[in-house]
Amino acid sequence: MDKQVLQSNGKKGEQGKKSGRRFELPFFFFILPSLLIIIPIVAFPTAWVFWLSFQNWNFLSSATPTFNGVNNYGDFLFGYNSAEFLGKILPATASFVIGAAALEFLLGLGLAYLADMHLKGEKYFRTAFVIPVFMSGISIGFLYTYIYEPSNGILNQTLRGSGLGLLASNWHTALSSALPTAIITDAWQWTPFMFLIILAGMKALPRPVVEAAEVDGATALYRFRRVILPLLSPIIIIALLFRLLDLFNYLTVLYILYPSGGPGQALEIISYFALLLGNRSFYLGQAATIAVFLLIITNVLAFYLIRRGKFA
Amino acid sequence: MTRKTPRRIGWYLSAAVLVAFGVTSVFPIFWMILASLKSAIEIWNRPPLFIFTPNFSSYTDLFGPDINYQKFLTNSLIIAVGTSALSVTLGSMAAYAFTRGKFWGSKSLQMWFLSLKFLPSIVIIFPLFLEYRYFGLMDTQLGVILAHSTFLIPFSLWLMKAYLQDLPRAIDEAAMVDGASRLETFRKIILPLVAPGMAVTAAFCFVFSWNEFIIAYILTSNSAVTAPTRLTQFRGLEAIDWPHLFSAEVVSLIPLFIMFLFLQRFLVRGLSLGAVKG
Amino acid sequence: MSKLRIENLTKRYGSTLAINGVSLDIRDHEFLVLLGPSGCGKTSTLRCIAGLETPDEGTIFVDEMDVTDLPTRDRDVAMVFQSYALYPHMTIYENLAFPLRTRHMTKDDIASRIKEVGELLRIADLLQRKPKQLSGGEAQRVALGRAIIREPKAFLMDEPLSNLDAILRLYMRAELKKLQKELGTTTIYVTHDQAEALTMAERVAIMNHGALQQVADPKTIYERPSTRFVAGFIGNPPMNLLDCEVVSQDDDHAMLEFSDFKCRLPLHGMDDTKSIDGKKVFGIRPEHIIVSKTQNSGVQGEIYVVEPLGSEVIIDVKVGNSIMKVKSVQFEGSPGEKLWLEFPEKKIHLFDVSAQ
Repeated sequence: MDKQVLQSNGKKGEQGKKSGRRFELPFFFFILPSLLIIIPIVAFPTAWVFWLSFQNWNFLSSATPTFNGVNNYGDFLFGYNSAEFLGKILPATASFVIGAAALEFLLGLGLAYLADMHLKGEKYFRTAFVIPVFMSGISIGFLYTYIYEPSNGILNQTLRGSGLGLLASNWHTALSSALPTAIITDAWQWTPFMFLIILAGMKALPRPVVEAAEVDGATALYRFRRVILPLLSPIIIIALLFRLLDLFNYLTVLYILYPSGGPGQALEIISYFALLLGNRSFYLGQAATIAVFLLIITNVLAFYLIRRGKFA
Repeated sequence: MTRKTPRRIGWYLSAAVLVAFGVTSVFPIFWMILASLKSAIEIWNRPPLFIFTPNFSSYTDLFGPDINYQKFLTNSLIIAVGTSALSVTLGSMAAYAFTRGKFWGSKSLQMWFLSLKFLPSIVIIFPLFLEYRYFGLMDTQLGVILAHSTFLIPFSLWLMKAYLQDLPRAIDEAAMVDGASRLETFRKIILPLVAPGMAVTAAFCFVFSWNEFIIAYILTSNSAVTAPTRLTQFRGLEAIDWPHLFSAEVVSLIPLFIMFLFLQRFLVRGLSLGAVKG
Repeated sequence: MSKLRIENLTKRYGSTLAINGVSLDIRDHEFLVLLGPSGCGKTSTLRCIAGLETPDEGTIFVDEMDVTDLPTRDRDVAMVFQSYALYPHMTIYENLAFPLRTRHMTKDDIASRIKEVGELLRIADLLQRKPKQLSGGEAQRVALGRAIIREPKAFLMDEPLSNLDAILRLYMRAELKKLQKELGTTTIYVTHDQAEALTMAERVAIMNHGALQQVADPKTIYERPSTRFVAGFIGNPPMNLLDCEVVSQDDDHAMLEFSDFKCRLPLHGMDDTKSIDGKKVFGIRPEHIIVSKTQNSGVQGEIYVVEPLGSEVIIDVKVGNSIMKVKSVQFEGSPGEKLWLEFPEKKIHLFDVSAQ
């Protein structure tokens, strides 16, 4: 007995050891199953995308990719594809993504403020308002193809019938209105997201602070701008980042509503552009290059979000 | 939390705005359901038809030999259930490890896992397509399940982390002092306690998997095509087969509507990935 | 039943040193209380012993066996948590059975153990309830029950009474102490409440800033605090502590110079006459100061505030620019009145300035 003690003393007790990792192994086994799926199905394709982005490869015309260095990148940024990529795709992406996020934020904020005043009816409104969130992009794409149809669609018919014929338009099929139409369609589905989060934030506001401002005689507008909004801003920033990230990933509705990128490629935002390059033109090398651009944008936003929200 | 009655006009005005937005949200769906009961001609009627004899033939066609929509519904069901089971199980395990343990690289690994929630499918879809062709996973339910779980495992991780963080650490520490191993603690103590959160997470995974388009579209061609993806086939070269399209849409919405009823109370938490408690 | 020994325990969280080289021997059957202000490292120390934290340096022995690298479940210690940490989804019966089931005890043995413990702690009729349906005191007893049921080598208790209301806490204090005596299980008990520590402990280990200040029985802690921190932490109100300088000393007296008064003290009452010179901290407990309204050899001061507490009176006395607290059984006076304070030589403490 004593001998054992001495041995264990001599072996471990002497050197001050650093063993802050005793649970490493068990914990790793909790993560391992996820890794077993994620590595082949995400990590490997991601690595492949990087590799592909340096290849010249049309999937239909040639069986094997050929290395062409940074030419794909060069083409998009300076070469013969740059007019399209920098002149159309990126501006369309920026307008769509920022436009939709901004519209949804403003509507969501306004509606949350209004709903917060109606304690009783709020529940019914919320239920009705949130339903579109559950619809698939494909359904929405077809549904709005039907609604926006210029001559016989219900939207234009209603506008004409109610004396607002001036407002009737070609919606998604006209160059001038294609982008706003896409933004409105997205807002129809996703404004509830902003609304719900902002409303939850409003309900969690420290009441005494808001009430103190009221007692201090601040007007409703002043209270909203100087007290409520600043208190909500952390939540709003997180919600906007979530929404932006989703919008960069957005294309299902567009794929249906704007079957070939919309009039004048108005809705060929970066993700849709990559899909068309790969799926319609079979330029897998170029599609991969666009994918890398998209990956960089979304990763920057995602890591900023995770840091900012202290999620990791 | 009663507040003093706001001025009447403001009250009515805001109520009107809310009602208008509520109606705008629901009306298109209502309009779609009506359309699914109309004939191809009635669908485009001028003025829009609200009163007509409902015609269920497009629904019966749907389940007839030509369209065979039940096949795609079954596919969707298998894929959505499989994906949510896989994602919630693995996501919860990872969430447990990340909330309870710190080890070398755990922080970076977690950041990476979380960020995968936002990885656009389009980034990996073409290499995945090539990979699936190589491994014979093309047009299989398993292939779609695995591909969907790549963003739903991270989703489950986000959400389950929030539920696990609500659980006092002392509970699992007590279990370990009481002699349970990590795995036993997870199975006997943690899992039963976060079961409600897992149900919510699974329901969200079901919805997202059911609705997912790009992966299901590129990685399937026939036997594993999902119900929403099948909708694209109603769009022909010339025209769209509207009556069947809409009845199929309505049918494919039913499972989502059931999930909606269940998830209503948990929407805020689910949609904000656990960032906001609703 | 076992003895525990920790040697040179050190734990860092980032750059903060939570435990700073703590060495401690806990005897078999002993009831040792780890006492200190919040953030002093007492809970971290307990958690290291339990195996819930891994120390950066140092060794932990249970019965002379090095358990430093042993996972929690193999250490055979039981812990009572501040929040009780009962398993909310299990009945009380299942809660009590859990530590036995993890050790693969048979069903019958479990049932008879639970019966025993249920009777001992008077929770036998709660067994089919869920933790939510228990009152604070009942939950507390169940938490204790879950600890004692498997007869561990040691109990580790992390502020187990702090979630109870004041009256129940007093009652449970006595109950717990009695229970520990009966079972004879070595116990380490963490608290920030000095009254709890002094009444329950056989020995108290006082910690501050991660370091052990003094380990001794309650009487010694009270009478012979070894550091200025312990002196200022123990007692209610705590010891008066004043900076002073020893300016001169002869065989049996020393002259102490305070910031604005001087005082001549007899030396032979104090045990360490060795190095009494230079800057020191002078300490005397409020209850040891003798007040008098007539002039004597003591230090002159004036009443600042009088706080009657029923059975006793606390008098804040202004001496120069310092306030000294005096505890007296009977006293009447009003602010501004002159007083003389005498410091009985055996009750005076001198501490090193540096010893924090």
